[in-house]
Amino acid sequence: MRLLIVEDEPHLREQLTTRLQEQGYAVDAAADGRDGLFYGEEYNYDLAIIDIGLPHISGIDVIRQLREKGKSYPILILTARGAWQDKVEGLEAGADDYLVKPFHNEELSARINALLRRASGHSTPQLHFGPITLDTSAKTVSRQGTPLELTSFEYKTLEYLVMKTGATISKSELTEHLYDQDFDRDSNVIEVFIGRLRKKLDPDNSLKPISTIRGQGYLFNLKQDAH
Amino acid sequence: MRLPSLASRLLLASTLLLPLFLGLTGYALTQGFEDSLEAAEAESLQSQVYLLLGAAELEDTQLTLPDAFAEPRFSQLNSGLLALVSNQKNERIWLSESGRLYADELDLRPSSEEEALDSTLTRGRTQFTRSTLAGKPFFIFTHDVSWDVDNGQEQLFRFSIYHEQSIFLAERRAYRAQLWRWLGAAGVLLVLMQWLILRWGLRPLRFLAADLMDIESGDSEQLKGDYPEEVQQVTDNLNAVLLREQQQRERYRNSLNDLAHSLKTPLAVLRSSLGSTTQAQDSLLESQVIRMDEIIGRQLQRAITRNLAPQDKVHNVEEIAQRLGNALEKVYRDKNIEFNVDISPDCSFNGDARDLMEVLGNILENAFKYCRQTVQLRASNEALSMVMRVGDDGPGIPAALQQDILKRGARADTAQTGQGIGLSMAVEIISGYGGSLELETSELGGAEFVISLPS
Repeated sequence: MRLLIVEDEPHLREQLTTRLQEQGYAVDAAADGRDGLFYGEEYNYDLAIIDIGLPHISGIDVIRQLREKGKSYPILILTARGAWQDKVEGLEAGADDYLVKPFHNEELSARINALLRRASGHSTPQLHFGPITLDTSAKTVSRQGTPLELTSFEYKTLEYLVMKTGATISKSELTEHLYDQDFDRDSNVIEVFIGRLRKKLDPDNSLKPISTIRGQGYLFNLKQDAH
Repeated sequence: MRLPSLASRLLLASTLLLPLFLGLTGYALTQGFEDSLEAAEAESLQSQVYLLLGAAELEDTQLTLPDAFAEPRFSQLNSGLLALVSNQKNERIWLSESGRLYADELDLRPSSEEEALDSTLTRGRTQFTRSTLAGKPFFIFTHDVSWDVDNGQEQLFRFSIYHEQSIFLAERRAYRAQLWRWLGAAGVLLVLMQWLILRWGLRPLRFLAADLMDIESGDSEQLKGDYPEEVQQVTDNLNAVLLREQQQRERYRNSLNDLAHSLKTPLAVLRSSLGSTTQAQDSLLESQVIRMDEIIGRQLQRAITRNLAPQDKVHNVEEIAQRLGNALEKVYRDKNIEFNVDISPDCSFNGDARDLMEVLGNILENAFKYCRQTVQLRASNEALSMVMRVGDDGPGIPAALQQDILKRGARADTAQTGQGIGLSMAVEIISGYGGSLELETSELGGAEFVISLPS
């Protein structure tokens, strides 16, 4: 999952970036509204965290312009003052949730998870696909109740495919959304991850959770269990 | 005595002064009229004397007068005009026919001489005075005349004309009556005119009052009216004061916001840097950071609500509620919450729209967070306040915790992650406006917050 952070306070921006990278997100950070708008328009993020009080272009204008440009990824606004006027204006401009400074890291993670989940059309953090269960909050995967040992990259690859269930995801999209820009974009790495994931999720090759669409990419083709 | 208005003061003063002024005017006019009437009377009586003198003849030492005159009243009994001629010894030597009935009284006059009339005869002297005959008021005109007798001696006679005052008095009475009628009418007219002039003259002040009322009710921010010079100076100054106050308020609000912003960001840094140190340090640092954050938030809110006089009147309560509802529905989209709003159209709030948004936002957020499916907001005007009820179908709040929530806005359910001090801020703002917040049980089954704010 690739996130955009637009925050003018350098310490907070760095801390957020580090924290979110530690949690396995690919993160781009912008220090003002102009840069934020540029990044936000240029790349397709999975989520953006935008501070309301920004230099050059206000956070609310950034959100409004991104939405006008057709960007539909979830946006979380950060507000220092916590006034409802700001929150309502931000949400009206197109944001999906707000967080008042200062906030718990856990609170931020929970909001990000919830927004990503919601964007993928899932309403609970636990997603069940037959024998396979993905917990987007704990970032764990289990098969028939037994936890699977996945590396962070394997998990991220699976989560991304699950969040985009039904869509074919190209290797380049996967690289773009999973890794920071300085990552060596060797598509063989993706193939290796997919191969390992298939083995771990489906050792007896009966479920076939991930299909390869020749020349296009990968598709997660399990249906989520009805509750 | 305290009079309610300038107009009534001025009107009272002129109503008191006017009779005095009109009385003096009336007195002076009456005096003048009487004087000229009397002068005319004296002149007319003198001409009667000349008439008598012309008719009188001295034979030897005896003065004789004819029986009939050009003036018929001398011959008519009780005509009110009579003539008398007396000699140096004050003896009556001739009386006109008209004075026959007064003859006895006239003869007695020397003994009952009135001081006004000098009884000593002096040649050529005329006197004009008043007296009574048979109880009736008379004017008396006397003329002392000397007649040359043959032997070079002279003989003095007094020609007196008595004229009853009845005509004069009637005339004076009529004049006075007429005069006072006119003066009374003029007085009433003057008071009326004065009242109209006052209304006209004080009209700018009434406009000023209405203008100020508009500012108080929040319909306008400045005195807009075009006023006369004297008032304009006051309104210009008032406008300047208002503007300065507004700017100061804005500056104040901005600097408070800046303060919040500048303090909160470092706090956010501090808080998110937690985790890099040991667990014990973490929890200590964290608890202190949260405390600082709450203190800042509360103090800021208190400063804003205490020091900023409410000037605006919020009429669009429904719009604010709907915007908040839409925003919260978006945030709590996963819960598929049904938000019902029922706000009577006459609802209004006498204060800052931002404060209303803050109160309603925090309480609605609480309801959205804890409800199962439904949140309901009803608002109506009751007496002098707007009462808003925010209810939900959540688990409700245990009685033991209710007082705490209303006092400090502490969160009853610490298990659910949340942030800020929303409810205590709401309590702070509401009490700043002299309103109240109460907790009841909603018909939906959950908690119901009842907010009363001045309307």
